[in-house]
Amino acid sequence: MSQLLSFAGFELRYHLRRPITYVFMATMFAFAFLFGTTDAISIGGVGGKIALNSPWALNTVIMVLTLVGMIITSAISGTAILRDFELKTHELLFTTRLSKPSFVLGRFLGAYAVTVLVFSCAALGIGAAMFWPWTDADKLGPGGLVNYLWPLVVYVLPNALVACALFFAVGILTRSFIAVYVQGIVLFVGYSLALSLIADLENKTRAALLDPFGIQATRSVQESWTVVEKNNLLVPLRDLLLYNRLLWVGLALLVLALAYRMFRMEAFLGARRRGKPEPEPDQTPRVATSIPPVTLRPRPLAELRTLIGLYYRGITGDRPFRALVASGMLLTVINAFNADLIYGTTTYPVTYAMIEIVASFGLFFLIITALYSGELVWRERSLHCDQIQDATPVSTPRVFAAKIIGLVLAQAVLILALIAIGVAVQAIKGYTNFELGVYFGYLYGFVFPGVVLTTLLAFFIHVVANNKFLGNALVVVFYILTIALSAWGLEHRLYNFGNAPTPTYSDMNGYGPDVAANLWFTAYYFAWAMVLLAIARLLLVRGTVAGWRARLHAARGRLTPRWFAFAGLALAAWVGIGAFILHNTNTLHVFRSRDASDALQAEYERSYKQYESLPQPRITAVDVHVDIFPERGHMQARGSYQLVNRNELDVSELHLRLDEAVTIRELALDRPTTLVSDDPRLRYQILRLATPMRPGERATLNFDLAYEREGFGNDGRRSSIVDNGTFFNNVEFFPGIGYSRSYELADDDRRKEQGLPLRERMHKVDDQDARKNTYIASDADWIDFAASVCTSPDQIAIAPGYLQREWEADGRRCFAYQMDSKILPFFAFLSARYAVLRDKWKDVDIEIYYQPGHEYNLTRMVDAVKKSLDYFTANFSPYQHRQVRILEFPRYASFAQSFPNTIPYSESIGFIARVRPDDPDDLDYPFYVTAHEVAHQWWAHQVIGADVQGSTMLSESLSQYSALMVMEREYGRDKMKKFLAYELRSYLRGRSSERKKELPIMLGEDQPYIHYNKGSLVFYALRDYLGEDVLNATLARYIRKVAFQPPPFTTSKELVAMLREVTPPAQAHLIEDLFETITLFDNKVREASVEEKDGKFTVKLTLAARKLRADELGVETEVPLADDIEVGVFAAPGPGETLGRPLYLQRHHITQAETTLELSVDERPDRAGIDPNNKLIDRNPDDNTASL
Amino acid sequence: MELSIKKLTKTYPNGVRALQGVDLTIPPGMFGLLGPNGAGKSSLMRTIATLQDPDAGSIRFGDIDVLTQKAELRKLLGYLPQEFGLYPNLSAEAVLEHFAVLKGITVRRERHAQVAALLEQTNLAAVRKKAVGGFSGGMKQRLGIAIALLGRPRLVIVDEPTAGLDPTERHRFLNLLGEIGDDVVVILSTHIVEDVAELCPNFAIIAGGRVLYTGAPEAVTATLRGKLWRRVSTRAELPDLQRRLKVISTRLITGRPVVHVHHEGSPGPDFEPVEPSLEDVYFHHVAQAQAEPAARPA
Repeated sequence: MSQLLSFAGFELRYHLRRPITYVFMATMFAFAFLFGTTDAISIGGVGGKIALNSPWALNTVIMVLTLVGMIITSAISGTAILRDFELKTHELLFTTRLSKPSFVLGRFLGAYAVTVLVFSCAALGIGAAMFWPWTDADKLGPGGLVNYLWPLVVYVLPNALVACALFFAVGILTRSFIAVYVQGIVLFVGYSLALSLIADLENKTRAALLDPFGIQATRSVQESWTVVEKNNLLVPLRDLLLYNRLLWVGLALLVLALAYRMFRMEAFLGARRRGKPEPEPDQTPRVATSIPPVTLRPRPLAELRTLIGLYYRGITGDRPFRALVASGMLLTVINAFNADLIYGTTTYPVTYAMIEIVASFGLFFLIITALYSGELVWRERSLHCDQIQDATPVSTPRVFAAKIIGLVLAQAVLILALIAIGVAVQAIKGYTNFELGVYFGYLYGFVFPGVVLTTLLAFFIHVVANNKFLGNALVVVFYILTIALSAWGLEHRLYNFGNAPTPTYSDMNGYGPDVAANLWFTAYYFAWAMVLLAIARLLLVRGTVAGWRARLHAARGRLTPRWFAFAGLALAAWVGIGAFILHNTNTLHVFRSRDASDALQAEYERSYKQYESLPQPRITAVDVHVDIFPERGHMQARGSYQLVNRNELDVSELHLRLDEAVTIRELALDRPTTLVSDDPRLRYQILRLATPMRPGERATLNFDLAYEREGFGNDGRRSSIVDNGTFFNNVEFFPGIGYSRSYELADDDRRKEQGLPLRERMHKVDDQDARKNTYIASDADWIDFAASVCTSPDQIAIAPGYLQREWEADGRRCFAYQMDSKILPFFAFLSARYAVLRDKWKDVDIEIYYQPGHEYNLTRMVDAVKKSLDYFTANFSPYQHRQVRILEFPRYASFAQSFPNTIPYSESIGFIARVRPDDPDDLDYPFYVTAHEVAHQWWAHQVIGADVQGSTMLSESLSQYSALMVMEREYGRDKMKKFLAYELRSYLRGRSSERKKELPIMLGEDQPYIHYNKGSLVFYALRDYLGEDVLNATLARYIRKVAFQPPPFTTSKELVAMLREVTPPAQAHLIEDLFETITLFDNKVREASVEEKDGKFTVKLTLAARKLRADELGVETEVPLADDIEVGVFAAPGPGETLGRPLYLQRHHITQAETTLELSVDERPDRAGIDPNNKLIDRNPDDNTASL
Repeated sequence: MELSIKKLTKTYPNGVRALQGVDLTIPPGMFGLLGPNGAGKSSLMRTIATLQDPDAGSIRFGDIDVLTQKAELRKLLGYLPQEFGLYPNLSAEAVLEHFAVLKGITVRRERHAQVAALLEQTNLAAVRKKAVGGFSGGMKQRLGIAIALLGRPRLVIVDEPTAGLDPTERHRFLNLLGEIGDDVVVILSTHIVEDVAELCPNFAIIAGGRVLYTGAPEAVTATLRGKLWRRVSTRAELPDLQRRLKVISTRLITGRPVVHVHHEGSPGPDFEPVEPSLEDVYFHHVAQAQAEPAARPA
């Protein structure tokens, strides 16, 4: 025993003497520290009300970092046994009195102890971050040592054991350093791969158990944690997490035991040697052959080719390389197969989806570059044939170039293989539109240059460092720096090596507007890389040069005119291109770091908030002529606003706000004014009227504005005006009137950084002043609208309204649109080379403007429009327009948005969706999204809430409900279960990542997880209790009451009051539970059994039920229960179902925490439970039913 | 062509004075460079092979100024370093082809012929397709010389090639060296005296960064003739002998120390005269250098 411990101590001391151990420690420390002090590394959603040192945050950081640490562990524990064989000391050791347990377990314990130490540095790092003087004390909670120690117990100790045992065993079994070094990465990949495979909704438990690091188990335990829980609770070591930890510690010990048994203290134990020595050829005396003469004729190209071939084969034949590539490719294949899952439904495997998955191989390129640049620079020196090579006439730069080209070539071939994977996956999925041009263009045009740049830099670093270890460390530092730079506020791409705006490929608009920016930045960095290579050339080592003085001396000898010419040219190109880029980004465009733009927003608020309640005229009509120049990315808008003073006071000043990118050619009121103040950066103008506008007085604001920026900015060009697929709205370019709260800095943390007071997200629901405005705009409500739009002759341009006429002028195609009724001040302009599908529902024209080739779901969309119109007109109110138009726009954004009679719809959602009618799992989401957007024509464009809390319930939640109803009619109630399960899970997750406060739905502050996900659940449940007819009739009455109303605008309170009226008194708590509070249930089956008698089955159930109210931070209090909750018994499920046919399904009035029921059914039951269809919001919906 | 080295000095950054004014003239043919470990042999070799720059001095090979016209020299050079490795996954043939290209043998037909001939000559033809990672020490060394001989160099430098080889391999290797033409300058550095004795018409002894002696082996043994004496001694009296006489070597023969002593006339009755061997010469010079470290003319 003492021998074992002293051997372990020996191992520990060995590691503590090695500098690399401290590098590992520093790495873990740095990761954790950076997490605590910057945004460079972000894990989870700390911020807002969640303290930086909350138990949850510390737990997450330390847990995730054990995963990172795993890559390191392989170098510590994988080599523990191998080292002796490598150093050839094993024969010395094994012939001493050292016993096998002491040797094997001692080595293991030592390595394990070091690993735990290294992992624990994560806790130290995050702890140090808390004491960092620049850490905002307001972001810290009470803290406590136990919050740091507990994750060490739950994650560090077991995970280090799992990793050490595994790597130790691999080391013993393979006796191969290569295997040991690569396994960390391979395991990492395998792990993320397994995660993506088991990430399915149904497999949560399995995933939680199978994850060796406990991350999934922790997620499942914490999935619905609220702010207050995150701030106060240590992760509880029970249930899945406990089982997971026990399972894996057990497995680790088992692996260790196996490895121990396999190990023999012998010189070679099935040890794989590098092949046996070659047998000596026979030694018959030979005739001295004369060596034939040769002509020495150095041919640089032949040399280069030979060298490149040598290095290329050296890389591609290397086992670690193959292991890396194989695991990366496997990951790519899996990802490609799972391309774009939305609600469990796939899209067509279009080429742009494939290239982005292939591009995500980037991490592997980084690893390959890091590993092999050093390997190649040191190739001859580590093989000890550098002197032989250096004594040949071959030129040193040529060898160096061959190494670079060899690696770059390997990477280029890798891309080719990845393309083959993409094409193969497309083919397997039955998609045959292989756009090879896009594959090659994107991957070689935009991905590969970045890979090459990184490679060049890595080579430069290795040459300069002239020490393999230092070089590798510096390459990693560079990788970290590229992430950290922007977090430190250095966001300009001119000083972030290799960073160019990456074009997004779109079927509509090809490579898009950022190509020029990408090429210029890439050229800039290639020029810089040439400068670096020129420097590297001076410092290349030939022969046995020792020390910097000798290297510099050699460098001086290499300063030839040719060198100066090359370096000078590269430097000139770098400076020249840099200046050109700077001109583009900082003169033609505006560059501002995040901090600077936050500061500007803060300045806006400080300077002008005083005018927030200043009486301003309102826009009542818009008439505009828009010229779109797609090929140049420009537009011009000439037109006028009709204004009226609806205030009871005179208006003596007109305040105007514009985007700073807009050129103002004319902006004038139809009466004399003086420009009192003009702020060119904030574009806030104050015009003083010579004679004030009297109440009720009208005026016209004429404007002639243009967006005509040339060149590109730091992030490329605007994607709203593009060659094919222009889509912009009035908010982007048109003048706004008066101060608008929506431009204020919203995030609390960022407000604090700018020294602004905290503010509420929205006005209180009872704020009568705020009810003067809708939540869409503060300068207008219902307006008359007319627009004409001109565009390129091959494009169709669209604005809200009905087409009045179409004409050609100056070789351009023009369209005039006119609205026949008042609309909200929210309008969009689109232009593209569209194909058009036309249909009709009664007298309503249905038109879909789409990209040719995207015909897949057009009939579904048309169908959804028709069925939506059917349902909404029958149940709510008439449709206010005579037309529904859906317009595809490029995938620079992926949403659909409803404008009056106009629905822009991204090419990435719906248009390429692949809904397989025969697959029970597929949801028809193009149908669903279309129905939702059509519903907005009622819920937003007829009924619009005031600018107060809860208004998004009136638009978004009611649109969700409306779409659900259309969907249910089409696909049946069963199909809804899956959808609602997603909604419940998204809601619980959403509230878990809330940073400020959760609110009841009727007070929601534009919180998507509330108005979408909870909205679906709330209205679907209400429909269940009140009945569809009652609910719809109430909604119809509500529409009649408030549609197109003038200010003050309606609020959620008004709707909730009407709903209360129609709710039976016995169910009165429903309104409170669903709308007015955050109510959660904790329902589960305690016991369930079944008895069979005479073909009858008696099911005995013990059900637990609790009803909880949560406050805005998630503190729960139990409230008395008196609810009608469904209890059900089900037959065995068919394929693809979770529950079978209901044999019994009734509401029971439940008032007790525990209820025992006996139910009798005629068929053999399979499962039974309480609220089996998850209609109530239950934080743990999985335990509602139990199998019998 | 002749290699002439003048006043070559080299001091490493760590203070080791590897070469302290080396002057040597090396005619075509085999030239042995004899010296103990750390004598500066490898430094000298590397300097001649253009792999490191001296602090001062000059090297000329024929018309070529080696220190400034490195590229020119490398065209004529074949170099086999003391310790070397080769790309372990490549076959012997591929390794040779590779270095042949680097040496500028770009005519494919000639290159193949040359590689084939060298493989034949070094007796590696049978294993030419085998990966060199599996080669024994002797095979690797022979492949090394094959690489050095690629492109028919005019100057061949082999640094301690026989160290660690078994006697058969050593002979096989020396035979290979012996086959290199007489018009080529071949520098063989070694600390094994027999290597020089068997092969080299000329040699130099180098120790402590200085050339102690240069000339032909026969000539140098002649200078010692009649001055060398030998005696079987005991361990106990060794220190006394070493103090009294110029003992140039002590070795065990069947477990008893036998001393060689340099002395004008018989040092005593127990001594018998011996015919000087090159080894005696070597020991004599090295012992002398250690006794009086002041500079001596070579």
